[in-house]
Amino acid sequence: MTVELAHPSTEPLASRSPTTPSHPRWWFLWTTPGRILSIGFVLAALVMASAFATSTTINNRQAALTTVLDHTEPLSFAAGQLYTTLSVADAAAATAFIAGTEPQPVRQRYEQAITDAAVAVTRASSGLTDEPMVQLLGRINARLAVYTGLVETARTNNRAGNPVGSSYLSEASSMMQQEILPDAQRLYEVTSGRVDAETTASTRIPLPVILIVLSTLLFGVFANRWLAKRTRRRVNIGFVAGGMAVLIMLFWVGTALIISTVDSRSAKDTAAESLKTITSLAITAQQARADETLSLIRRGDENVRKQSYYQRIEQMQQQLAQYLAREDSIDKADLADAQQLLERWRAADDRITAYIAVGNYQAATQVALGTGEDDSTPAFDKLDEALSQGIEQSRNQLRSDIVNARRVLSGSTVGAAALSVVAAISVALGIWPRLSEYR
Amino acid sequence: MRRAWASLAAAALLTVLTACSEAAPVVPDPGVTLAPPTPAGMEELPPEPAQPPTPAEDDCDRTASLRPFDTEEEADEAVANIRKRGRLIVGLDIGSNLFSFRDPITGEITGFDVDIAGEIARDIFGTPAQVEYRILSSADRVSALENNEVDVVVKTMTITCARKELVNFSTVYLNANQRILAPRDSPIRQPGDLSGKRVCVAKGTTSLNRLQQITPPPIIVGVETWADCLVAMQQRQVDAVSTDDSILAGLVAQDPYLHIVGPTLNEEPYGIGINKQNTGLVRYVNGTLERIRRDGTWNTLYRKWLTVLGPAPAPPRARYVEE
Repeated sequence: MTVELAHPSTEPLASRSPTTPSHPRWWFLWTTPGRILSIGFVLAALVMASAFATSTTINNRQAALTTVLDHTEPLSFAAGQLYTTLSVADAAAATAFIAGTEPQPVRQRYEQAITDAAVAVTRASSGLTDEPMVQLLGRINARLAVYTGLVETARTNNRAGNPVGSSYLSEASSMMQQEILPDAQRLYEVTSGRVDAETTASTRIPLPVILIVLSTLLFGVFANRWLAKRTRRRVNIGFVAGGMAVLIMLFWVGTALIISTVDSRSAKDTAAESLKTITSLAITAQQARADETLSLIRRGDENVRKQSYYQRIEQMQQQLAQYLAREDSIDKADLADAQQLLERWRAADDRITAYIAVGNYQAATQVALGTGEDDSTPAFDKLDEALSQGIEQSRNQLRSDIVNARRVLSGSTVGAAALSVVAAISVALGIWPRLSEYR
Repeated sequence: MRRAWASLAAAALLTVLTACSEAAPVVPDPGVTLAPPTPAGMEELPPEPAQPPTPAEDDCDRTASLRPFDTEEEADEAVANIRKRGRLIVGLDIGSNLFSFRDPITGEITGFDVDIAGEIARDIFGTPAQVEYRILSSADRVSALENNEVDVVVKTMTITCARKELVNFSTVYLNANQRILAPRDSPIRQPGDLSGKRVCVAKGTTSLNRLQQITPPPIIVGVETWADCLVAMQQRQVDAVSTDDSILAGLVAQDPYLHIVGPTLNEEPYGIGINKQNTGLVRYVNGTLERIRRDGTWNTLYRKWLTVLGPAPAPPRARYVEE
């Protein structure tokens, strides 16, 4: 039997000593330094979270406002332009017809209006994505091509001395009034509704941001007091500095958001409203002009046309009175004379009616097309010019309000980020000395 | 070895095919279709049961009117109101080439009917210019007379027994015949060819009734004015137009690709419409018609406007009721 000698171990004895600590690792968090450290972490995390929340909110707002400026508003403006220029084209085509040989300025106005309308269709099409609206615009575009064809057929027949020309013109005009313009109106309503909706979204109070920033501040106060109790130092400089940074951030971002919101509100309630009212006035004016001139050509449904003319003038008078009565309306100066112009126009139209009543169409046409002080054309042209200026001013106001709303926000993203880093570092610096006391 | 190549090629093809099927499916863009442009107010009239041919229209001796005044005083008294007003109010339309239409060059309303109305004004005022026109659609002619909105209607108005119960008519100032207008390349040659075809008429005219007697019936498309029928025809929305040859001639004059075909469907004596109560004006207008038949004005006007219908016939003979 062999006896094996036990070899003495070469391993150090210490390695066999038990390694399990008396407490689990997480016990450290229960110790005072552990608690200090975790409070510091939570505080820093909260600071970062509030910085993230604010900068995201601001970013979103900026992005929304940029969308309004770069896409939605130009689209809505193009839709409004489309509606107006189509009405201009229709009125010009009808005017050219009663003038015998077409006067050059009227021909040019028609051609320019068609060009403008085609450009407006292109502009509007670049921003449309949803299928129903694309189809709507497709219909407008297709019918516009048919419309110009009908007008040219009418013109050719007129030139050849064929009375059927006026039937073609009234076919064209009724297509414009009953099919194209209602579609254009819908497009304008939808797109200007989108401008409203997107601008309104930028006026909402950002509740999550407020909550998270408030809880950061509250937790900071609690941490400071807890630390003061443990360490008998009343004020922690780091925490105070961090708190200050958060407060500054709060103040900065808060002010920026308030100013931006006020600007957005102004854009929506004042400028956009004004723009809508004046655009609608301009369109009604063109339609009334088309009624006036068409009643001279067609003379079969002249009573219908007259009624619709009077209705439109009344509608414009009401809209204008409301517009001028509002305190915050834009560009009242240009429109101050508009009521008077409307009255002059209506008086001229009464003279047209009077001439038609005695069968004197030459004189009636002269009043409709003449450039004399009491004739229709100067009153209508001046009204149209005033309205165009009003549209331009309101649009400028709308865009500059939105630009302002966006600009005040522009520094605050970077500011919020920088301040939150400062706050986080301050918290760390405030905690470090307390923590090192436990080494 | 060749088999190995083949299977490799097949594998490659399979890979390509599967790669293709993985591509996003192409959604076809929904197409947009639009109704063709149509003349303002055009509509397809609901089909009516074929009507039996109306018995000869002469049950009421429709072309017989009242005799003109014998003395100047009586005549003057009959138009005293119109003279006091200073103008004669005439109802017509502006879409009937050759009869009443807007001259594209001058912008004035002219035509055969307009000149006839001018002759009445000449007798009243001494000048044909003192006339006010009220534009009426064909369907409004009778009601405008009943409501005294116009003094006379001179608008290619056919004298019928039904209308004569509501308004008065002058003696016949023109005899027209209902015929068919079709494109030269169309097979339509006679009334029977119209069955199932789209035929255009102005709403509220006698031409409509005759078309409804054709069996099987044509599809009737109604419009506001006869000029709108020409538009509908040129835009290929109707196959034919059927009405008085005099009106059709005005349409042919504007489009050489059309021609008038077929026998006479109906005789259409034109009369000037006047309010039922205003018998004085009827006699006065008959006096004017008597004058223009006698002094050659009628022939002059016919030659001025209606030579496309052929050489000027003798003016229609005036027939008067026995009193």
